[in-house]
Amino acid sequence: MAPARLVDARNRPAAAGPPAHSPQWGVAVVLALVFGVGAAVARRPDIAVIGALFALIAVSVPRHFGQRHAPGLGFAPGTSRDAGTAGRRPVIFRDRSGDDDGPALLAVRALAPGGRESALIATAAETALLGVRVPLGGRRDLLDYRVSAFSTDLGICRDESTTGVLTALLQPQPEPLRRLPVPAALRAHAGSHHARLRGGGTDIRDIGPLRPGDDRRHIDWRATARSTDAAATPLVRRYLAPADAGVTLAIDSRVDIPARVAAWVDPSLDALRMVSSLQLTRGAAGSVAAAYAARGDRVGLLDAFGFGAPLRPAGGHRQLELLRRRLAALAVPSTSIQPSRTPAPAPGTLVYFFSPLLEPDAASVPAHWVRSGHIVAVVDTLPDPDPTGLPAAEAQALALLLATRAAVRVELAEEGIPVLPASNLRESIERWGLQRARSRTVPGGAR
Amino acid sequence: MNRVLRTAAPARRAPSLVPLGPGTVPATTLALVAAALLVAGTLPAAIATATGRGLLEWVGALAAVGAGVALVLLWPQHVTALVALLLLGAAYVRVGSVGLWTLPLYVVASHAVYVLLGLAAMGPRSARFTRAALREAARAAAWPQVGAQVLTVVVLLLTLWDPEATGVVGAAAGIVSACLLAGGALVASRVAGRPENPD
Repeated sequence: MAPARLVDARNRPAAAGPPAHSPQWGVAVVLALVFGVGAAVARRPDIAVIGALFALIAVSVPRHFGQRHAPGLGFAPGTSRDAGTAGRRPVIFRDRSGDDDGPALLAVRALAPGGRESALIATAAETALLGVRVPLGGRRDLLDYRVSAFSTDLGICRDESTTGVLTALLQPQPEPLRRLPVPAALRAHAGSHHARLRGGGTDIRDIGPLRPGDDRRHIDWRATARSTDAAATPLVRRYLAPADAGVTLAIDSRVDIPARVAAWVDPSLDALRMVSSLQLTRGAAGSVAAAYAARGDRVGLLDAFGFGAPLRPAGGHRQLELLRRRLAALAVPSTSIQPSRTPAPAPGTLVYFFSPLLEPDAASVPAHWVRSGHIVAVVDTLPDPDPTGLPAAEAQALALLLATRAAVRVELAEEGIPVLPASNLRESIERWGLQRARSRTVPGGAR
Repeated sequence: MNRVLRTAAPARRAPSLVPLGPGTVPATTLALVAAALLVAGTLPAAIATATGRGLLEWVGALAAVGAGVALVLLWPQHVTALVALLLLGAAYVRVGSVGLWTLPLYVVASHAVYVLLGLAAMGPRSARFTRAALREAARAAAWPQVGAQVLTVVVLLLTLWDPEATGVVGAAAGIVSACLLAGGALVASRVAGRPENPD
């Protein structure tokens, strides 16, 4: 599986605590005084020599810890593909205080979800590259870390006053989809629009110097004649590409179910790094959005069962980036309250509905959209259930749940809505596209 | 970890952080080296104590060495460093009567044990140290080393001046200097409020 794409990373650094004084220095001073006074009272020069040695120690050790080291962690660009660090992303650790009034060691103790605490001890002057395991997607606290500063003779130490947190927004890499369905059928259905890409449309996009690949029939001789270019490079008119489809990605984010069934209820299992329904939703919806946007089509987003503001269908890279952020930040809502009205996709758009199909309304809502004139495809985002280590009672509960799912699928089939598996989206979506191209049926099934 | 009931043991999980650059040293290696130094420093005294005596003395002497090593390996921390240094001091008092050649051995072993266990106590058992950090710690520990070696020379000179008094004075000075270092680190860790046994 390709490593997740980092959409955003934020670091709340650990603040340095108050400076500490050296107990070694204090003890050495006290012992030097005791031995000195004892030698004077007993008139023993050998005791005075030992007292002088402790005075020497008191002079040599640092008295206090004046440094205010504020180490920080940040994501490094790229991914590590070293052996033994698979699935880890590099993180840079460095001391950014710039206040260097003495040598110091810094101990970073970090804890990531699902991992065990580990630490790295480095000098304040060096920059270390650390590997951290990241979840497959979503907005996650990657690392809770604490930083302690030590004098190099270990005599003085100081912990930080707060804990640092490194948060990242991760989105799975899009899967390339080639044969996308429907635009031909939608052409009369949705009306045409112009993509922001260069192409063979009728509206002019820009005029520029002739480059390989430009159509020579589009050379603008008048503009070339007016040009002050000494090389007399011909200027070419370029046109906007026509694009037709509007696509709405409707998301059902009410549950996030990992593949291993035992992890549904057992929090000790490392569910963060398992393939889950929301993770499949992020990956599949991101792939569909990237494929349609690359063709110049308009793509929007709709929260089918929540109160999230819909993203109106639009084209362009900024829209795609916005979609990626929204998809990466998908999370199960904290409330089970749903809006009373079913949200409506933008008029005339093709609707992809991403759902694990565990609730009865997962069939009624897309059926409602079909009746209001949309072409709808349901993408099944439930990962293949892994019943390893499941007790008998929970196995029966799983069988009941799967029966409910089967009923939902039957209901969808009766409405003529295709169900595409998210785990094998590429093949299934291409097959569906081919079927639509051949059948030329009325959009939305039998109506 | 529950070593008796394996099923109660927590699931083995990967560490949260892994240094991607080469050349780091795990804390476990430092604890192993400290244990080896402790054996080198205390075993001669244990053998000298038990030689010519019964089985019970042999078992007792070797058990003391084994207990010190187990302590160092299981709980590398400042308190353990203090106990290990006291063991080394007691060994010096026992072997001190044999010959002054043991004093440098004691000083080197005690300071190395102190530094290694102090470093190992800075993080959990899975902590790793960069080479630069170890180099800096060794450089900083060199100053107390120099002080301890000066102490050795002073005790040697005192031996020549007053042979009867210097045995006790030299041993006491060595133990106090070592305890000074370990006690300082212990207080520092207490001040910072860190748990003594991170694992």
